[in-house]
Amino acid sequence: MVRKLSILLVEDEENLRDTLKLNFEMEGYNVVTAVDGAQALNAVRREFFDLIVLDVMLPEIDGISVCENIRLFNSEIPILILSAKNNSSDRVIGLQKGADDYVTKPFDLTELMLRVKKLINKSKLIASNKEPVKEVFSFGKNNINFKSLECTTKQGETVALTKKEAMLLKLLIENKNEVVPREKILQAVWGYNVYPTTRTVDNFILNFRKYFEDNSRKPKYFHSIRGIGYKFTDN
Amino acid sequence: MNPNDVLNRKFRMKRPQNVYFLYWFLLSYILGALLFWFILLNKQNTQLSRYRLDMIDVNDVSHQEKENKIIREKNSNAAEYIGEAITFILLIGAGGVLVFQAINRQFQQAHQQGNFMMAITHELKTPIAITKLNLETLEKRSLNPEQQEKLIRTTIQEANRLNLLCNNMLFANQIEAGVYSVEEETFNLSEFTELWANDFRSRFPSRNIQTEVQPDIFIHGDLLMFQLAVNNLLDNAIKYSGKEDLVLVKVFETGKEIHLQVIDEGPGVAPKDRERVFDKYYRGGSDKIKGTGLGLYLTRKIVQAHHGVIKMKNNSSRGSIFEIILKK
Repeated sequence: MVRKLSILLVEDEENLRDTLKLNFEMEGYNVVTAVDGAQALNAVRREFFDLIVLDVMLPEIDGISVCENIRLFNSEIPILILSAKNNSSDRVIGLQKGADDYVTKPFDLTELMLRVKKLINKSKLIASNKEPVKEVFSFGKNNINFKSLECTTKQGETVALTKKEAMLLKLLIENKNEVVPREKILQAVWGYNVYPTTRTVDNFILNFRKYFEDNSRKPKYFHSIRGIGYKFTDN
Repeated sequence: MNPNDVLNRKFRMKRPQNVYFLYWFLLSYILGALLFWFILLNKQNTQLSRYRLDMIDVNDVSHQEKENKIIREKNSNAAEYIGEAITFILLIGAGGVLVFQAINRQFQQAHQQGNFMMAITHELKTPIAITKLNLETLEKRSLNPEQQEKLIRTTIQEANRLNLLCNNMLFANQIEAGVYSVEEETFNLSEFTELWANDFRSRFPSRNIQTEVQPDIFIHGDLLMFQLAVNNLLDNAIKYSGKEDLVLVKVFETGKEIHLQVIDEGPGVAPKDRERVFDKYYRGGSDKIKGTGLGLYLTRKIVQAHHGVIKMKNNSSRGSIFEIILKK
């Protein structure tokens, strides 16, 4: 089943929020709403979204600060600012602080829906543009065959991989030398949109170390970055 | 919209410094020039008296007397200059303070006006955006009757909101220009209060708006203005309190006074804001709370035009009470 695309809608004006939600839902999106900056930040930390629609004049923490804050830990999620401020300087600030698009109120419904769709598509395209991993990947003495779902370990044994193990390996290898956040792993491999606090990923990494590392206490390939996620290196 | 906005903003930021620089430069120049002329005059005075002293014939019998006279004249001249200089400095000082205050006030006003324009932008654009979005949704989507009804209702709500905003702005202008003429009539405040509360009930059906109104209390005043005042209070009560919270309107008589209270269960007003909530353009909690800062200012103006007073106090449990007291 294809996962419904999900949007976080941050807007404190109730009437605007309700009608926008209705429209997004009619376009087939899953919509989560937040009425202020704090709620928005909580939602982004807890859940995966394909796009954030963000109002600027919010109570407590304003939209620009929310955007800045999100960018500190998530540089990928597309953010569309929806604001009544239409000075060029306001737009510049919004875009500078990490928004991908800036739409002013009042806006055109069709245009907004199109912009949202395009932003999501573009971000998906960029994400899939990473160099694809070959069917057979080797590092050190190890070999992974993604097609037959098998690997040859350091001792030369052939071990069958589960589908999830293969997916996680692929994700880490695709992002070689980069830290992959735990949330992204849970979302991409397990399909969780809401992030549970589980040890699942850790257990998988422990298995990988058992298969591929010479000394699993001092890993060469599979590193865990405390509080953030995991990294694969092959040097 | 305007590509020069960034430039304008920079310009505006710079202007005060230039003005202050010019101010201090002029002031110090004037004081410096004053000191310069004072010293010069004094020097001349001393020199002149010296020449005069030199010219006196020492053999003259009355030369001592003449010398004394010249010295007395010199001293009295010096005293005159000092007195003159002090008066000048005092006048210039007083003028300087007045000008400084005027400049400051002007900048403060410009700043407040700027804030007001920003608030207006938001307050005008949001209802327009909602109205447009609702109408486009009605036009483009096939909705069930319930959804349609909700969209229409919220659109009317937003139109009313725009109307209240326009009325506030218009009245503010008229009151300031002194061109608004109060149309006095006697009307049944009890009946109208119920009517206005009902209007809010239909606009915000999910909100709990209650009334405790003594029947048949009549007042003499401008019905339209009074409606605006009460609308502003009700609007604030709804805006600043939670969805579940009660908004209560009370109208009652005590002795020689008529009271109208609007009571909400919101977070109340911070003590530091309590003095200033009725100031023009003032909004509690700075920019974070939305609004134009006109509502309460106008409400007070209207109440004052009716020879009444408006008070703000804290509700015993939570929230605040805004009370209009009129003489019978």
